[in-house]
Amino acid sequence: MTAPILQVKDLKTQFFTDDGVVQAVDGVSLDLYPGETLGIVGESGCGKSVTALSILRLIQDPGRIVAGQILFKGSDIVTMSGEEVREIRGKDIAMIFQDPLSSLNPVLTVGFQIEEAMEAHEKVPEKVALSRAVQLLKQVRIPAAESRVNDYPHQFSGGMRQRAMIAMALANKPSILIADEPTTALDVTVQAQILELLRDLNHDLKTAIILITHNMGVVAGLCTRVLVMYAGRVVEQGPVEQIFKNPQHPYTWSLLQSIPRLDSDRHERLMSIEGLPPDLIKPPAGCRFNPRCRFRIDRCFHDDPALMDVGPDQEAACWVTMRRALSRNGEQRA
Amino acid sequence: MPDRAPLLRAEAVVKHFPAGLGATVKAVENVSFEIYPGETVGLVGESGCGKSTLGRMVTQLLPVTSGNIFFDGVDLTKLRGEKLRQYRRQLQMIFQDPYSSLNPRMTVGDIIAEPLENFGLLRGRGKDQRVQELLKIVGLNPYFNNRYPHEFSGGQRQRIGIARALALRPKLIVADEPISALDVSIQAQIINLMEDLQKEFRLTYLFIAHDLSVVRHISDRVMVMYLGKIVEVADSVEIYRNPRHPYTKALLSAIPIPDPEIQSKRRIVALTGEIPSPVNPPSGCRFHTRCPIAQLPTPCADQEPPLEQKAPDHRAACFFSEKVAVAV
Repeated sequence: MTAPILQVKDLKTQFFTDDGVVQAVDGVSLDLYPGETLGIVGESGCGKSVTALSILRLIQDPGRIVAGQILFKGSDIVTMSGEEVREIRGKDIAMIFQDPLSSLNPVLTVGFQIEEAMEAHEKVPEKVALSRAVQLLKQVRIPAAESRVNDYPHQFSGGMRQRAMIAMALANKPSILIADEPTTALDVTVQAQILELLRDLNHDLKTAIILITHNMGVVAGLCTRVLVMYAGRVVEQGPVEQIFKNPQHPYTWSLLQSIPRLDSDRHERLMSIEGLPPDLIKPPAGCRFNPRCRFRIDRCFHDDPALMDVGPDQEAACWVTMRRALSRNGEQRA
Repeated sequence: MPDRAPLLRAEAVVKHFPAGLGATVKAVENVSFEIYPGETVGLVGESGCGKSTLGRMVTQLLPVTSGNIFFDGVDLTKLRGEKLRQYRRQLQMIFQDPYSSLNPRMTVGDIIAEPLENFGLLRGRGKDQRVQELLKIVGLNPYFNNRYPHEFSGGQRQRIGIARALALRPKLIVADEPISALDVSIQAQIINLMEDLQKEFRLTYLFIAHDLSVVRHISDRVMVMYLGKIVEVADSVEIYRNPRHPYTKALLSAIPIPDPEIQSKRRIVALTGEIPSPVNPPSGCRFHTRCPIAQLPTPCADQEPPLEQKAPDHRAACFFSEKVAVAV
């Protein structure tokens, strides 16, 4: 196997607030291979966006990366100078966000903003920049790109704005695209179009994608590998087929059981996860999921599980794991 | 179901909003439907299709431009003042955003008691007891009545909103995107709660959402809206198995299923273009500009397809609904 293009090792990002230290990302590790599509799923506040922002060193006060390494092609982003990070940001690693309207400047044309993204990293003659901007808009399937390049963001629909953001992100042919909830603000039919676009770009340009989302369905459609995060930690990771078919962490399992599916029996009662995610200023002792876990054992209250092998290429941070939990329940029933 | 009298019947309901310079936003155009006692009707569609506007007209938070809304046989659009207020008791609403729909300066107890006070129903101890009972019903600690909304999470706030809606023992609850602001693990809690409450209090729901998989789960029947029109109404299992309108089919195909194996084999019905403006909707069938099976110009661009029976309990507004299964 080739070497990973991005390696995050034991990343800890904390926010120093008046109420205390928020352990937003607490020991996250991940490997991203060239051309791969990696999903990071979890609920609000689980640390998925903070992980992404940390990779680009975009954490702002009162937040700080307090430990860990982020190795991009061998060099550590955490310890780089601001100048060096700016070189990588937008050029090698680009990012798109949930709300394309607030990420675009309303008083500049879409074309100008794409050209600006190019010129941040190389000197390009005006004419070349314009024709490349048109080319990029065509690549993200904006109809009538030649005239649309002169439009302002408000003249674009929500889906087109996200396409324009993707065009901007692709301006410098990045090797990694981080997409943070790129379709959450969009209608389902538009979401489907954007996901298809990302899939094609990944296929044609071999851009590696980190897709951050709360939507398990979106991950299932786009990603080959997935990381499930809960309360600042990775609780499970592995190939997508494996995780969806055979989730081993009770959180992953419960999450999958709690979503109403278009193809399931309508009258099945949804499995709900009781309680709330923990306060990350004072996370619970032991496993952070233990207060909400229906399969917990004594050990879970005081002993914090690390990621352990639970299948081919699959890891989960759980003392019980679903394999044992379900067979245990089976025994009880028998 | 038609053997019973509907609890709510909307007839040719229209809502136009002035949009400046003499333009008109045709938000809801000539919509008719029924809701029967005890059922849950889902109303789905994308942003701007008019589903929330329709929901607000049902509860009379918005007046209709024309048309009638009969509740228990009485035309709400003809009622004014005190008479309308008395009917409103039976029609309550749950809103999407549990942050902006609760007054931050009122205690939770006062929020839930407000409808009781408005109608002069209970006072003093009786009122406090009812508030505590309502908190318990929605799964909150009854002694939290002195706390303020900011002390609660999004899911808990939505429970408070539900308790307020239940305070007057309504018959019909219109829930407008009640779970879309909530996290996935909390969504199931609220859906289950709404289902339990329905059984316990024989509630009737109009459940408005953009997420067809959630709507299908909770609803007995589903109505699909596009650009101010209902394009299809059917039993929720039937509409998924056998959509008769090309828009419904496209909408269903776009919803991701959390299963990579199934997801990789699914075919997405790609719609071309964008949703047209409701100021100037397309002629004939409003969907014809994006429809994969439209026959243009005749009939799709110059005649409006009626919402008609295509199968038992299944209506669709499409001239070529028999082609949807094979050609879309």
